[in-house]
Amino acid sequence: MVSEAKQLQLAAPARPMATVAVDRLSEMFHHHYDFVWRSVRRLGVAPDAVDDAAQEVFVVASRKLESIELGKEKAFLFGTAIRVAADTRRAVLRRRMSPSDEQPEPIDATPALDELVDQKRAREILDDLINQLPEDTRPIFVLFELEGMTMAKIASDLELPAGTVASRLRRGRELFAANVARLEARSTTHG
Amino acid sequence: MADPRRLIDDPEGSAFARSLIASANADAPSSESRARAARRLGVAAALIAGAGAGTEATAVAAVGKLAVVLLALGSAVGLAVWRSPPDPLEDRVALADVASPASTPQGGAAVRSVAPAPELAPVELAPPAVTPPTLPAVSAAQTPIVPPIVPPIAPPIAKPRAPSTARPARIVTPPAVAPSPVAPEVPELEVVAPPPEVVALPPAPPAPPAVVPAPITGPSRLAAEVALVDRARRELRAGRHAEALAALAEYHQGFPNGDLDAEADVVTIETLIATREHARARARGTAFLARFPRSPLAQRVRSLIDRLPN
Repeated sequence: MVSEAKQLQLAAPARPMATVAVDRLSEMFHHHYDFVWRSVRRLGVAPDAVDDAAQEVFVVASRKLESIELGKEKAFLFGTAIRVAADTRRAVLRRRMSPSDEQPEPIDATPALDELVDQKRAREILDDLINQLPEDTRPIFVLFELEGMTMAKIASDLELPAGTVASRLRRGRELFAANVARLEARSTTHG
Repeated sequence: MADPRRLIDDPEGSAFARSLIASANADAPSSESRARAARRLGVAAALIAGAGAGTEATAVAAVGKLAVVLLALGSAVGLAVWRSPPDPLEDRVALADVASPASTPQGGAAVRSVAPAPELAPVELAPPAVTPPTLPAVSAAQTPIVPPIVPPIAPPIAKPRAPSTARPARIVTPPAVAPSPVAPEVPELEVVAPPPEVVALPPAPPAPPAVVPAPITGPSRLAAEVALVDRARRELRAGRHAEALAALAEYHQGFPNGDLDAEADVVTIETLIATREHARARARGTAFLARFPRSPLAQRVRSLIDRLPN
Protein backbone atom coordinates (compact mmCIF):
# COMPACT_ATOMS: atom_id res chain seq x y z
CA MET A 1 0.00 0.00 0.00
CA VAL A 2 2.83 2.30 0.81
CA SER A 3 4.39 1.89 -2.56
CA GLU A 4 1.06 2.52 -4.26
CA ALA A 5 0.61 5.64 -2.27
CA LYS A 6 4.08 6.76 -3.22
CA GLN A 7 3.38 6.06 -6.84
CA LEU A 8 0.26 8.12 -6.63
CA GLN A 9 2.18 10.96 -5.08
CA LEU A 10 4.90 10.73 -7.69
CA ALA A 11 2.36 10.71 -10.45
CA ALA A 12 0.64 13.75 -9.06
CA PRO A 13 1.65 17.05 -10.56
CA ALA A 14 3.01 19.88 -8.47
CA ARG A 15 0.44 21.22 -6.06
CA PRO A 16 -1.96 23.36 -8.04
CA MET A 17 -1.57 27.04 -7.51
CA ALA A 18 -4.88 27.23 -5.75
CA THR A 19 -3.86 24.70 -3.16
CA VAL A 20 -2.46 27.17 -0.70
CA ALA A 21 -5.63 29.21 -0.87
CA VAL A 22 -7.69 26.09 -0.53
CA ASP A 23 -5.68 25.04 2.49
CA ARG A 24 -6.50 28.34 4.06
CA LEU A 25 -10.17 28.02 3.22
CA SER A 26 -10.12 24.59 4.77
CA GLU A 27 -8.50 25.92 7.90
CA MET A 28 -11.14 28.62 8.12
CA PHE A 29 -13.91 26.14 7.55
CA HIS A 30 -12.58 23.76 10.12
CA HIS A 31 -12.11 26.36 12.80
CA HIS A 32 -15.04 28.61 12.15
CA TYR A 33 -17.88 26.79 10.41
CA ASP A 34 -19.79 26.27 13.63
CA PHE A 35 -19.23 29.88 14.63
CA VAL A 36 -20.45 31.10 11.25
CA TRP A 37 -23.45 28.81 11.39
CA ARG A 38 -24.35 30.01 14.90
CA SER A 39 -23.81 33.59 13.86
CA VAL A 40 -26.10 33.60 10.85
CA ARG A 41 -28.69 31.76 12.89
CA ARG A 42 -28.46 34.28 15.71
CA LEU A 43 -28.44 37.20 13.34
CA GLY A 44 -31.93 36.24 12.34
CA VAL A 45 -31.73 33.66 9.58
CA ALA A 46 -34.52 31.12 9.86
CA PRO A 47 -33.45 27.59 10.82
CA ASP A 48 -34.23 26.11 7.42
CA ALA A 49 -32.09 28.68 5.64
CA VAL A 50 -29.07 28.64 7.91
CA ASP A 51 -27.12 25.95 6.08
CA ASP A 52 -27.29 27.83 2.80
CA ALA A 53 -26.42 31.12 4.42
CA ALA A 54 -23.43 29.67 6.28
CA GLN A 55 -22.21 28.11 3.09
CA GLU A 56 -22.62 31.39 1.27
CA VAL A 57 -20.34 33.04 3.82
CA PHE A 58 -17.58 30.61 2.94
CA VAL A 59 -18.15 30.99 -0.78
CA VAL A 60 -17.63 34.71 -0.34
CA ALA A 61 -14.53 34.02 1.75
CA SER A 62 -13.16 31.70 -0.91
CA ARG A 63 -13.28 34.54 -3.40
CA LYS A 64 -11.65 37.06 -1.16
CA LEU A 65 -8.99 34.97 0.48
CA GLU A 66 -6.19 37.21 -0.67
CA SER A 67 -7.72 40.22 1.00
CA ILE A 68 -8.31 38.51 4.32
CA GLU A 69 -5.61 39.52 6.73
CA LEU A 70 -3.87 36.73 8.56
CA GLY A 71 -5.37 36.35 11.99
CA LYS A 72 -8.50 38.23 10.98
CA GLU A 73 -10.28 35.29 9.44
CA LYS A 74 -12.95 35.01 12.10
CA ALA A 75 -13.61 38.73 12.00
CA PHE A 76 -13.92 38.61 8.22
CA LEU A 77 -16.30 35.68 8.41
CA PHE A 78 -18.47 37.41 10.95
CA GLY A 79 -18.58 40.59 8.88
CA THR A 80 -19.63 38.52 5.90
CA ALA A 81 -22.13 36.65 8.03
CA ILE A 82 -23.75 39.96 8.96
CA ARG A 83 -24.22 40.87 5.32
CA VAL A 84 -25.37 37.43 4.22
CA ALA A 85 -27.80 37.24 7.13
CA ALA A 86 -29.20 40.65 6.23
CA ASP A 87 -29.65 39.60 2.59
CA THR A 88 -31.30 36.35 3.61
CA ARG A 89 -33.62 38.07 6.04
CA ARG A 90 -34.64 40.58 3.40
CA ALA A 91 -35.27 37.80 0.89
CA VAL A 92 -37.48 36.00 3.37
CA LEU A 93 -39.38 39.15 4.30
CA ARG A 94 -39.89 39.88 0.67
CA ARG A 95 -41.25 36.41 0.07
CA ARG A 96 -43.60 36.74 2.97
CA MET A 97 -44.98 39.93 1.53
CA SER A 98 -46.04 38.03 -1.55
CA PRO A 99 -49.76 37.32 -1.20
CA SER A 100 -49.40 33.87 -2.70
CA ASP A 101 -47.06 32.79 0.05
CA GLU A 102 -48.19 31.26 3.21
CA GLN A 103 -47.97 33.71 6.03
CA PRO A 104 -45.64 32.68 8.81
CA GLU A 105 -47.15 32.04 12.11
CA PRO A 106 -46.80 35.27 14.03
CA ILE A 107 -45.16 35.25 17.40
CA ASP A 108 -47.90 35.23 19.94
CA ALA A 109 -47.25 38.16 22.18
CA THR A 110 -49.27 36.74 25.00
CA PRO A 111 -48.11 33.24 25.75
CA ALA A 112 -48.67 31.74 29.14
CA LEU A 113 -45.64 31.58 31.36
CA ASP A 114 -45.52 27.81 31.36
CA GLU A 115 -45.24 27.91 27.60
CA LEU A 116 -42.38 30.30 27.84
CA VAL A 117 -40.15 27.80 29.50
CA ASP A 118 -40.47 25.56 26.53
CA GLN A 119 -37.14 25.55 24.84
CA LYS A 120 -38.32 25.79 21.28
CA ARG A 121 -40.76 28.46 22.09
CA ALA A 122 -38.10 30.36 23.98
CA ARG A 123 -35.79 30.16 20.98
CA GLU A 124 -38.49 31.58 18.72
CA ILE A 125 -39.10 34.43 21.10
CA LEU A 126 -35.39 35.10 21.33
CA ASP A 127 -35.27 35.25 17.54
CA ASP A 128 -38.06 37.75 17.54
CA LEU A 129 -36.46 39.90 20.21
CA ILE A 130 -33.07 39.92 18.50
CA ASN A 131 -34.71 40.76 15.19
CA GLN A 132 -36.27 43.80 16.81
CA LEU A 133 -32.86 45.23 17.60
CA PRO A 134 -31.46 47.83 15.22
CA GLU A 135 -29.17 46.51 12.49
CA ASP A 136 -26.08 48.17 13.94
CA THR A 137 -26.78 46.86 17.42
CA ARG A 138 -27.76 43.28 16.69
CA PRO A 139 -24.30 41.88 15.87
CA ILE A 140 -22.79 43.42 18.98
CA PHE A 141 -25.56 42.11 21.17
CA VAL A 142 -25.19 38.63 19.66
CA LEU A 143 -21.43 38.53 20.04
CA PHE A 144 -21.52 39.76 23.61
CA GLU A 145 -24.57 38.05 25.05
CA LEU A 146 -24.70 34.84 23.06
CA GLU A 147 -21.17 34.28 21.86
CA GLY A 148 -19.61 35.46 25.10
CA MET A 149 -17.04 37.75 23.51
CA THR A 150 -15.59 40.71 25.35
CA MET A 151 -16.34 44.24 24.24
CA ALA A 152 -12.66 44.77 23.47
CA LYS A 153 -12.58 41.76 21.17
CA ILE A 154 -15.80 42.84 19.49
CA ALA A 155 -14.38 46.32 18.91
CA SER A 156 -11.24 44.83 17.45
CA ASP A 157 -13.04 42.35 15.20
CA LEU A 158 -15.62 44.78 13.93
CA GLU A 159 -13.03 47.55 13.71
CA LEU A 160 -15.18 49.88 15.76
CA PRO A 161 -14.13 52.28 18.49
CA ALA A 162 -14.58 50.83 21.95
CA GLY A 163 -16.98 53.63 22.83
CA THR A 164 -19.19 52.81 19.88
CA VAL A 165 -19.34 49.17 20.87
CA ALA A 166 -20.14 50.10 24.46
CA SER A 167 -22.92 52.48 23.51
CA ARG A 168 -24.49 50.11 20.98
CA LEU A 169 -24.32 47.25 23.41
CA ARG A 170 -25.92 49.38 26.10
CA ARG A 171 -28.70 50.38 23.72
CA GLY A 172 -29.19 46.77 22.62
CA ARG A 173 -29.39 45.52 26.17
CA GLU A 174 -31.85 48.24 27.14
CA LEU A 175 -34.10 47.49 24.20
CA PHE A 176 -33.89 43.78 24.82
CA ALA A 177 -34.67 44.18 28.51
CA ALA A 178 -37.59 46.48 27.76
CA ASN A 179 -39.06 44.04 25.27
CA VAL A 180 -38.58 41.15 27.67
CA ALA A 181 -40.30 43.11 30.42
CA ARG A 182 -43.18 43.87 28.07
CA LEU A 183 -43.58 40.19 27.24
CA GLU A 184 -43.40 39.22 30.89
CA ALA A 185 -46.04 41.79 31.80
CA ARG A 186 -48.39 40.51 29.11
CA SER A 187 -47.77 36.91 30.08
CA THR A 188 -48.53 37.66 33.67
CA THR A 189 -51.66 39.50 32.72
CA HIS A 190 -52.92 36.76 30.45
CA GLY A 191 -51.42 33.75 32.10
CA MET B 1 -14.14 50.09 30.23
CA ALA B 2 -15.37 47.09 32.16
CA ASP B 3 -17.76 44.75 30.44
CA PRO B 4 -21.21 44.65 31.94
CA ARG B 5 -22.36 41.38 33.40
CA ARG B 6 -23.94 39.25 30.73
CA LEU B 7 -27.67 38.76 30.99
CA ILE B 8 -27.29 35.05 31.41
CA ASP B 9 -24.87 35.53 34.28
CA ASP B 10 -26.86 38.13 36.11
CA PRO B 11 -28.85 36.52 38.92
CA GLU B 12 -30.50 39.83 39.65
CA GLY B 13 -31.81 40.13 36.12
CA SER B 14 -34.94 38.64 34.67
CA ALA B 15 -35.10 34.86 34.89
CA PHE B 16 -37.21 34.92 31.78
CA ALA B 17 -34.48 36.82 29.92
CA ARG B 18 -31.94 34.26 31.11
CA SER B 19 -34.05 31.39 29.86
CA LEU B 20 -34.45 33.11 26.50
CA ILE B 21 -30.71 33.64 26.15
CA ALA B 22 -30.06 30.08 27.27
CA SER B 23 -32.33 28.80 24.53
CA ALA B 24 -29.60 29.76 22.05
CA ASN B 25 -27.17 27.35 23.65
CA ALA B 26 -28.33 24.59 21.39
CA ASP B 27 -27.55 26.55 18.25
CA ALA B 28 -25.20 24.33 16.33
CA PRO B 29 -25.06 22.84 12.89
CA SER B 30 -25.85 19.18 12.56
CA SER B 31 -23.08 16.90 11.45
CA GLU B 32 -24.97 16.52 8.18
CA SER B 33 -24.99 20.27 7.70
CA ARG B 34 -21.29 20.45 8.32
CA ALA B 35 -20.53 17.56 6.03
CA ARG B 36 -22.72 18.91 3.27
CA ALA B 37 -21.13 22.33 3.43
CA ALA B 38 -17.65 20.82 3.49
CA ARG B 39 -18.45 18.75 0.46
CA ARG B 40 -19.94 21.62 -1.47
CA LEU B 41 -17.04 23.85 -0.62
CA GLY B 42 -14.64 21.08 -1.43
CA VAL B 43 -12.83 21.33 1.84
CA ALA B 44 -13.31 17.84 3.13
CA ALA B 45 -13.44 15.53 0.17
CA ALA B 46 -14.18 12.06 1.42
CA LEU B 47 -13.25 12.55 5.03
CA ILE B 48 -16.65 13.65 6.12
CA ALA B 49 -16.46 12.39 9.63
CA GLY B 50 -14.69 10.01 11.83
CA ALA B 51 -11.31 11.46 12.51
CA GLY B 52 -10.52 13.92 15.20
CA ALA B 53 -12.79 14.45 18.12
CA GLY B 54 -15.56 12.13 17.05
CA THR B 55 -16.22 9.13 19.14
CA GLU B 56 -14.72 5.89 18.12
CA ALA B 57 -18.14 4.56 17.30
CA THR B 58 -18.80 7.51 15.06
CA ALA B 59 -15.51 6.97 13.35
CA VAL B 60 -16.22 3.35 12.73
CA ALA B 61 -19.69 4.14 11.44
CA ALA B 62 -18.33 6.80 9.14
CA VAL B 63 -15.68 4.48 7.84
CA GLY B 64 -18.31 1.89 7.09
CA LYS B 65 -20.50 4.39 5.31
CA LEU B 66 -17.61 5.68 3.31
CA ALA B 67 -16.63 2.21 2.28
CA VAL B 68 -20.18 1.66 1.07
CA VAL B 69 -20.12 4.95 -0.76
CA LEU B 70 -16.84 4.14 -2.42
CA LEU B 71 -18.04 0.74 -3.47
CA ALA B 72 -21.27 2.24 -4.67
CA LEU B 73 -19.43 4.67 -6.82
CA GLY B 74 -18.08 1.64 -8.51
CA SER B 75 -15.16 3.51 -9.88
CA ALA B 76 -11.74 4.49 -8.85
CA VAL B 77 -12.71 8.11 -8.58
CA GLY B 78 -13.71 7.97 -4.98
CA LEU B 79 -10.60 6.06 -4.19
CA ALA B 80 -8.44 8.48 -6.06
CA VAL B 81 -9.91 11.34 -4.07
CA TRP B 82 -9.61 9.33 -0.95
CA ARG B 83 -6.02 8.43 -1.42
CA SER B 84 -4.78 11.49 -3.14
CA PRO B 85 -3.94 13.83 -0.34
CA PRO B 86 -0.49 14.67 0.32
CA ASP B 87 -2.74 17.62 0.95
CA PRO B 88 -2.86 18.27 4.68
CA LEU B 89 -6.35 19.69 4.57
CA GLU B 90 -7.70 16.23 4.18
CA ASP B 91 -6.32 15.47 7.57
CA ARG B 92 -7.30 18.65 9.22
CA VAL B 93 -10.84 19.04 8.10
CA ALA B 94 -12.07 16.15 10.03
CA LEU B 95 -15.42 17.67 10.87
CA ALA B 96 -15.10 16.02 14.10
CA ASP B 97 -17.51 17.12 16.74
CA VAL B 98 -20.40 15.23 15.33
CA ALA B 99 -21.57 14.08 18.67
CA SER B 100 -22.06 17.44 20.27
CA PRO B 101 -24.74 19.44 18.50
CA ALA B 102 -26.90 19.86 21.54
CA SER B 103 -24.16 20.44 24.00
CA THR B 104 -22.42 23.46 22.61
CA PRO B 105 -21.48 25.49 25.61
CA GLN B 106 -23.06 28.85 25.84
CA GLY B 107 -20.95 31.66 24.77
CA GLY B 108 -18.20 30.14 22.97
CA ALA B 109 -16.72 28.59 20.04
CA ALA B 110 -17.67 24.99 20.24
CA VAL B 111 -14.92 23.02 21.78
CA ARG B 112 -13.34 20.82 19.23
CA SER B 113 -10.21 18.90 19.51
CA VAL B 114 -8.20 19.10 16.37
CA ALA B 115 -6.38 15.89 16.44
CA PRO B 116 -4.62 15.00 13.26
CA ALA B 117 -6.41 12.24 11.48
CA PRO B 118 -5.00 8.85 12.15
CA GLU B 119 -4.07 6.58 9.36
CA LEU B 120 -7.44 5.51 8.19
CA ALA B 121 -8.49 2.00 7.74
CA PRO B 122 -10.82 2.24 4.76
CA VAL B 123 -7.93 2.43 2.40
CA GLU B 124 -7.51 -1.20 3.14
CA LEU B 125 -11.14 -1.87 2.31
CA ALA B 126 -11.05 -0.21 -1.02
CA PRO B 127 -10.15 -1.85 -4.28
CA PRO B 128 -6.63 -1.41 -5.57
CA ALA B 129 -5.68 2.02 -6.69
CA VAL B 130 -6.40 2.80 -10.25
CA THR B 131 -4.65 5.57 -12.00
CA PRO B 132 -6.66 8.39 -13.47
CA PRO B 133 -6.53 7.39 -17.16
CA THR B 134 -8.86 4.53 -16.38
CA LEU B 135 -11.47 6.77 -14.86
CA PRO B 136 -14.84 6.53 -16.46
CA ALA B 137 -15.48 9.66 -18.35
CA VAL B 138 -17.66 10.99 -21.03
CA SER B 139 -16.62 13.00 -23.97
CA ALA B 140 -17.30 16.66 -23.97
CA ALA B 141 -19.84 16.17 -26.70
CA GLN B 142 -22.00 14.18 -24.33
CA THR B 143 -22.05 16.78 -21.68
CA PRO B 144 -25.19 18.84 -21.49
CA ILE B 145 -24.32 22.39 -22.38
CA VAL B 146 -26.71 24.02 -19.99
CA PRO B 147 -28.41 22.09 -17.29
CA PRO B 148 -32.16 22.12 -17.48
CA ILE B 149 -34.07 23.96 -14.84
CA VAL B 150 -34.04 21.75 -11.85
CA PRO B 151 -37.20 21.51 -9.81
CA PRO B 152 -36.73 23.24 -6.50
CA ILE B 153 -37.72 20.24 -4.49
CA ALA B 154 -34.95 17.87 -3.64
CA PRO B 155 -35.62 14.20 -4.14
CA PRO B 156 -36.95 12.55 -1.00
CA ILE B 157 -34.26 11.07 1.12
CA ALA B 158 -36.02 7.77 1.44
CA LYS B 159 -35.84 7.23 -2.25
CA PRO B 160 -32.57 5.64 -3.18
CA ARG B 161 -30.74 7.75 -5.64
CA ALA B 162 -30.27 5.88 -8.83
CA PRO B 163 -26.74 5.14 -9.89
CA SER B 164 -27.27 7.70 -12.51
CA THR B 165 -24.89 8.54 -15.24
CA ALA B 166 -25.07 12.07 -14.01
CA ARG B 167 -22.37 11.30 -11.49
CA PRO B 168 -19.83 10.16 -14.02
CA ALA B 169 -20.85 13.08 -16.18
CA ARG B 170 -19.50 15.39 -13.54
CA ILE B 171 -16.08 14.05 -14.15
CA VAL B 172 -15.83 15.91 -17.38
CA THR B 173 -13.65 18.93 -17.32
CA PRO B 174 -13.15 20.94 -20.43
CA PRO B 175 -9.43 21.41 -20.99
CA ALA B 176 -9.86 25.16 -20.77
CA VAL B 177 -11.14 24.95 -17.22
CA ALA B 178 -8.72 22.68 -15.56
CA PRO B 179 -6.18 20.22 -16.80
CA SER B 180 -7.47 17.32 -14.81
CA PRO B 181 -10.64 15.41 -14.30
CA VAL B 182 -12.93 16.56 -11.61
CA ALA B 183 -13.82 14.39 -8.74
CA PRO B 184 -17.48 13.63 -8.43
CA GLU B 185 -19.43 14.77 -5.50
CA VAL B 186 -19.61 12.18 -2.80
CA PRO B 187 -23.24 11.14 -2.54
CA GLU B 188 -25.29 11.83 0.50
CA LEU B 189 -24.33 9.39 3.16
CA GLU B 190 -27.91 8.44 3.86
CA VAL B 191 -28.48 7.37 0.32
CA VAL B 192 -29.01 3.69 -0.07
CA ALA B 193 -26.05 2.42 -1.93
CA PRO B 194 -26.82 1.51 -5.50
CA PRO B 195 -25.28 -1.64 -6.84
CA PRO B 196 -21.79 -1.12 -8.09
CA GLU B 197 -22.06 -0.20 -11.66
CA VAL B 198 -19.62 1.37 -13.98
CA VAL B 199 -21.13 3.03 -16.94
CA ALA B 200 -19.10 2.10 -19.93
CA LEU B 201 -18.29 5.27 -21.70
CA PRO B 202 -15.80 6.31 -24.32
CA PRO B 203 -12.42 7.33 -23.01
CA ALA B 204 -11.79 10.91 -22.15
CA PRO B 205 -10.11 13.12 -24.70
CA PRO B 206 -6.34 12.91 -24.52
CA ALA B 207 -4.76 14.98 -21.81
CA PRO B 208 -2.62 17.93 -22.72
CA PRO B 209 0.93 16.82 -23.40
CA ALA B 210 3.33 16.62 -20.50
CA VAL B 211 0.56 16.96 -17.96
CA VAL B 212 -0.23 13.89 -15.99
CA PRO B 213 -3.93 13.88 -15.30
CA ALA B 214 -4.40 13.87 -11.59
CA PRO B 215 -7.57 13.43 -9.64
CA ILE B 216 -8.81 16.84 -8.75
CA THR B 217 -10.04 17.05 -5.27
CA GLY B 218 -12.99 19.19 -4.38
CA PRO B 219 -10.92 22.24 -3.54
CA SER B 220 -9.47 22.51 -6.99
CA ARG B 221 -12.90 22.13 -8.47
CA LEU B 222 -14.25 24.95 -6.38
CA ALA B 223 -11.26 27.07 -7.34
CA ALA B 224 -11.94 26.37 -11.01
CA GLU B 225 -15.61 27.17 -10.57
CA VAL B 226 -14.84 30.41 -8.79
CA ALA B 227 -12.33 31.37 -11.47
CA LEU B 228 -14.87 30.90 -14.25
CA VAL B 229 -17.68 32.77 -12.56
CA ASP B 230 -15.30 35.56 -11.65
CA ARG B 231 -14.10 35.71 -15.24
CA ALA B 232 -17.69 36.01 -16.44
CA ARG B 233 -18.26 38.80 -13.94
CA ARG B 234 -15.14 40.65 -15.03
CA GLU B 235 -16.10 40.39 -18.69
CA LEU B 236 -19.57 41.67 -17.88
CA ARG B 237 -18.15 44.62 -15.97
CA ALA B 238 -15.86 45.38 -18.88
CA GLY B 239 -18.83 45.38 -21.23
CA ARG B 240 -17.68 42.27 -23.07
CA HIS B 241 -21.01 40.55 -22.97
CA ALA B 242 -20.30 37.82 -25.48
CA GLU B 243 -17.18 36.84 -23.56
CA ALA B 244 -19.15 36.84 -20.33
CA LEU B 245 -21.75 34.51 -21.79
CA ALA B 246 -18.99 32.32 -23.21
CA ALA B 247 -17.43 32.00 -19.77
CA LEU B 248 -20.83 31.12 -18.32
CA ALA B 249 -21.43 28.52 -21.00
CA GLU B 250 -18.02 27.12 -20.19
CA TYR B 251 -18.96 27.03 -16.55
CA HIS B 252 -22.18 25.14 -17.16
CA GLN B 253 -20.44 22.76 -19.51
CA GLY B 254 -17.65 22.06 -17.10
CA PHE B 255 -19.73 21.96 -13.97
CA PRO B 256 -23.25 20.79 -14.61
CA ASN B 257 -25.01 21.28 -11.30
CA GLY B 258 -21.94 23.06 -10.02
CA ASP B 259 -21.68 24.48 -6.58
CA LEU B 260 -21.81 28.04 -7.86
CA ASP B 261 -24.84 27.54 -10.06
CA ALA B 262 -26.71 30.26 -8.26
CA GLU B 263 -23.92 32.79 -8.66
CA ALA B 264 -23.49 31.86 -12.31
CA ASP B 265 -27.21 32.30 -12.85
CA VAL B 266 -27.12 35.79 -11.38
CA VAL B 267 -24.28 36.82 -13.67
CA THR B 268 -26.20 35.33 -16.60
CA ILE B 269 -29.27 37.36 -15.70
CA GLU B 270 -27.20 40.51 -15.34
CA THR B 271 -25.57 39.88 -18.70
CA LEU B 272 -28.91 39.32 -20.39
CA ILE B 273 -30.15 42.57 -18.92
CA ALA B 274 -27.04 44.33 -20.14
CA THR B 275 -27.70 43.03 -23.64
CA ARG B 276 -31.35 44.10 -23.34
CA GLU B 277 -32.65 40.58 -23.65
CA HIS B 278 -35.28 41.33 -21.10
CA ALA B 279 -37.60 38.43 -21.79
CA ARG B 280 -34.81 35.92 -21.38
CA ALA B 281 -33.55 37.72 -18.30
CA ARG B 282 -36.98 37.57 -16.75
CA ALA B 283 -37.37 33.89 -17.59
CA ARG B 284 -33.97 33.08 -16.07
CA GLY B 285 -34.80 35.19 -13.05
CA THR B 286 -38.11 33.46 -12.49
CA ALA B 287 -36.48 30.09 -12.86
CA PHE B 288 -33.79 31.15 -10.41
CA LEU B 289 -36.33 32.14 -7.79
CA ALA B 290 -38.12 28.85 -8.20
CA ARG B 291 -34.90 26.93 -7.86
CA PHE B 292 -33.21 28.95 -5.13
CA PRO B 293 -36.03 30.65 -3.21
CA ARG B 294 -34.00 30.94 -0.04
CA SER B 295 -30.71 31.90 -1.56
CA PRO B 296 -29.14 35.04 -0.21
CA LEU B 297 -28.98 36.03 -3.88
CA ALA B 298 -32.75 35.76 -4.32
CA GLN B 299 -33.30 39.31 -3.17
CA ARG B 300 -30.90 40.59 -5.77
CA VAL B 301 -32.53 38.60 -8.53
CA ARG B 302 -35.98 39.84 -7.55
CA SER B 303 -34.73 43.36 -7.59
CA LEU B 304 -33.18 42.83 -11.04
CA ILE B 305 -36.29 41.44 -12.65
CA ASP B 306 -38.58 43.90 -10.87
CA ARG B 307 -36.74 46.72 -12.55
CA LEU B 308 -37.20 45.23 -16.00
CA PRO B 309 -39.63 47.12 -18.22
CA ASN B 310 -42.83 45.25 -18.88
